[in-house]
Amino acid sequence: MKARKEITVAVIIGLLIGLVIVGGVMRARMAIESISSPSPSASTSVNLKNKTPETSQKLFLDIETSDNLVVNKNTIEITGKTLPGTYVVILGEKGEYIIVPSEVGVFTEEVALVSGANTIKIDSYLEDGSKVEKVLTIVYTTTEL
Amino acid sequence: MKKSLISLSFALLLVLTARSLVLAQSSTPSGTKNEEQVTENLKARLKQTVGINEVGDTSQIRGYVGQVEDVIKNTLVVKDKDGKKNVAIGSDATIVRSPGNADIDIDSVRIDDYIIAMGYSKGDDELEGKRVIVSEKPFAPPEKLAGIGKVSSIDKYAFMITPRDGGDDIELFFTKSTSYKSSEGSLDFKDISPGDEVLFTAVRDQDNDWSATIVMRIKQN
Repeated sequence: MKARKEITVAVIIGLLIGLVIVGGVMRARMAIESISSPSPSASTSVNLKNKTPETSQKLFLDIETSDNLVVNKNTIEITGKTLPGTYVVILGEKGEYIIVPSEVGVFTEEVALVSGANTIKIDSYLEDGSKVEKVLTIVYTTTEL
Repeated sequence: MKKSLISLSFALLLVLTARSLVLAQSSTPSGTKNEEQVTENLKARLKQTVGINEVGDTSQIRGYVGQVEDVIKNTLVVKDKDGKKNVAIGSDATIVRSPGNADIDIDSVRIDDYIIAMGYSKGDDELEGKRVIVSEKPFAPPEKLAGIGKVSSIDKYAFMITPRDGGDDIELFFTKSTSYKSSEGSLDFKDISPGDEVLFTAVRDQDNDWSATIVMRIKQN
């Protein structure tokens, strides 16, 4: 009687282990398949290579550099993100810049500053001429506060 | 029976370990991971830039540029591009009038004066002013222009651009310092032809004309 019980328990344990292994293999397979199938970001980069912006996405412009900064250096790095395949124009007090963002829409530019108040306009353009604009105010001073 | 229980516990442990391993592997698809990586890199770079550039210690030092709307006791009410800001003037603050940079006190600040206020941020829209520059004249940025359009004609001195947004044609004078480029690299003036689509930047010159600074060909005719 005791031996029968132990056999039953052993069979159940065997089944459980089998299920775990099969389940694990299936999950691992699914995970590998999802990695090897093209992701949304991969399709974006294909579009970019063809210089065709993803017009289905709304044009946006996120600026990482803080507004109203006070700096003691005559340049500032403007960093941001926009829709891939667009053009970014920066109009600073001392110069103008046209940048082609990276394949994921990231851009960065060292912008020259004048002493005192600097109004920096940042525009992201689609080829059809539509744009979004952000304005930063940066104060450049060498005076100790 | 004891042996069976141990075996059962072992089996359960195996189930839980295998499950958590599989979940951990499948919960971070590569696309999301890449975007997170980019965001993290951006944040790190920004922190580095801000750390180098800001005056002293001071993630809290900020500057407002605008016009004085009111002076209430020791507080200047300033209107900048985003709205109203309060600048509290303490006893250790310096106020100077430009041009000349002569020291003045808060009573000499007039409504409608233009102002650059620098100091420590005291939360949203409020500053503990440390150095304030006031002027009767605005700290106006130079007039600049950018846009996308089609080159409709080119003469000896200028391009005529028809903007894509449907506005009036713009006459863009080229100068020695005008630079020409495409997304592949730099171009020459001769590479731009009527019918090309260009993205341009320009500044208002002394004759009140638009002088092209950058002309980037984005589509060739």
